[in-house]
Amino acid sequence: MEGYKCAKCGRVYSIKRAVCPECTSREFITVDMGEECVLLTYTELWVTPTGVSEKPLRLGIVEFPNGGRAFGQIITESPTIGIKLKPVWKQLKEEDGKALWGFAFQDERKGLKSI
Amino acid sequence: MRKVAILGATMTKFGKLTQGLDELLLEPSLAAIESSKLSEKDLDLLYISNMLGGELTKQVSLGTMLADELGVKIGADRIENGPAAGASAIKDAFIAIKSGLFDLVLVAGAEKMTHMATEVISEYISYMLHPVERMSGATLPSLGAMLARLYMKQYSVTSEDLAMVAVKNHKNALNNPYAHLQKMVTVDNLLHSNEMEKINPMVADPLRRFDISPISDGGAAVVLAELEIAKKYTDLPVTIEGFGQATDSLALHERSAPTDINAVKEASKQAFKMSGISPDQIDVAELHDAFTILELVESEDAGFFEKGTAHKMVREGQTEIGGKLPINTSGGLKARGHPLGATGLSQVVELVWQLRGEARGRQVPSATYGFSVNLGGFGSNAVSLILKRGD
Ligand SMILES: [Zn+2]
Repeated sequence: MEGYKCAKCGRVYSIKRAVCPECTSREFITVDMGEECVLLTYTELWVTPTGVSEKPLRLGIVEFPNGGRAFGQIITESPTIGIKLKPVWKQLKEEDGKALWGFAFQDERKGLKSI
Repeated sequence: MRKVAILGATMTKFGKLTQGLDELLLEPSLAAIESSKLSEKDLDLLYISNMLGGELTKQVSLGTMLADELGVKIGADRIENGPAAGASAIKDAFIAIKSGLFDLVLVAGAEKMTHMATEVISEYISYMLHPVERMSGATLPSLGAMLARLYMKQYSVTSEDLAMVAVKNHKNALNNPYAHLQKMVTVDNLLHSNEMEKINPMVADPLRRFDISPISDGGAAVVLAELEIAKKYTDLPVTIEGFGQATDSLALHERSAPTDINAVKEASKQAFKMSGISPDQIDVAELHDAFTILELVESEDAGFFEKGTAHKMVREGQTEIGGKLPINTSGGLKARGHPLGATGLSQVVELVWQLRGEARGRQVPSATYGFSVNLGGFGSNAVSLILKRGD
């Protein structure tokens, strides 16, 4: 998974930006976010949006060792703040008949039922 | 220095209504103009607050529509700032009068929602979110839930604490004939009854149905005037002492502390600075409780309570009528209802009624200063207003 590091202040973003909100630099370096991130907060969504098949849909915010954060679906049977997750490429949603793919975050702990 | 006052301030009942969007704008406008003792021809500018007119009712150019219905040919715009359109439109009217270019401005806001399926409405509402978060399936309640989970863990806040906010706001709405939900609820029947999963199911864990405001139809309108002109028409002007507005990252995950709403901190700080007063001078507040958790967070971030203590204030009854700072005397978004574009205006209408001593059955005794926070997006845009009873 790629991220974008501000060339001036070093803050890492998972979303491509034109201007760094921290320092207004317009220069970014593409970086690899790594294979492991930590779950900061999450929800289990029971009233799910159109185009999503999972129910409950687990969503969370994760943080990578470089400080960059991302938002995404969490693939696990038992979400807990602090668990380690791995970015995986997945179909997230279908909108207007088109499949939307992106990164989700998978729990790789052994003994958990895989989905 | 010119000051800005409020003359007429009215709203329709909120709820599942038969009126269309045009009527929800027109009815309170006519009533506000009439109660201001003005004629339509006295107005010199008009703002509409509305979020989803095109999507839900196939009608845009709402400013033109209302001006035409009122028989005037003045400047008219629709202001869109998500569910903060109402406070944004008041802000724009305030600036217009303050500038000296305009003297009498009508602000009307409405949303027609209940004729559409909930999934369709939720989808349109989620257009406010960052596209990357929305693509993963984010909805407004899911972001509220993520903030709630973190906040509850950090400050030892329980589901009972959240339910108590809903209980208080429902209780206030019982005395507000304009409220959508007029039904007494208790923490026991929301969280400890056999029927809990039926009446109060989980929507976005840890938020249940009663932590979330309903989908409502409704309209509201306010006439603003330069203070000296306002005094010719009323003995009870309410002045707008200040406003503040700020934005934050559109994406929740980019905010430094997802338990805080920095846009509320900044907007409120600006509003207090402009007014020259401090949070402890506020007598009554209308906060944007689209989710119960938001009332707690906003009451802290606006400057009323220390971070992490708002739930204790609710437990002690300090935010009830009769407490230190009554919050959402109208019932709030939770029970008055939440017709997006009308919400910010209905907060102002409630404050005007409180400051004029007209909030029958739920009056805060001798209220001098009122405060409101109206949120656009999920805390990504906040507008704070401070109102004062005229002398
Ligand atoms: Zn930077």
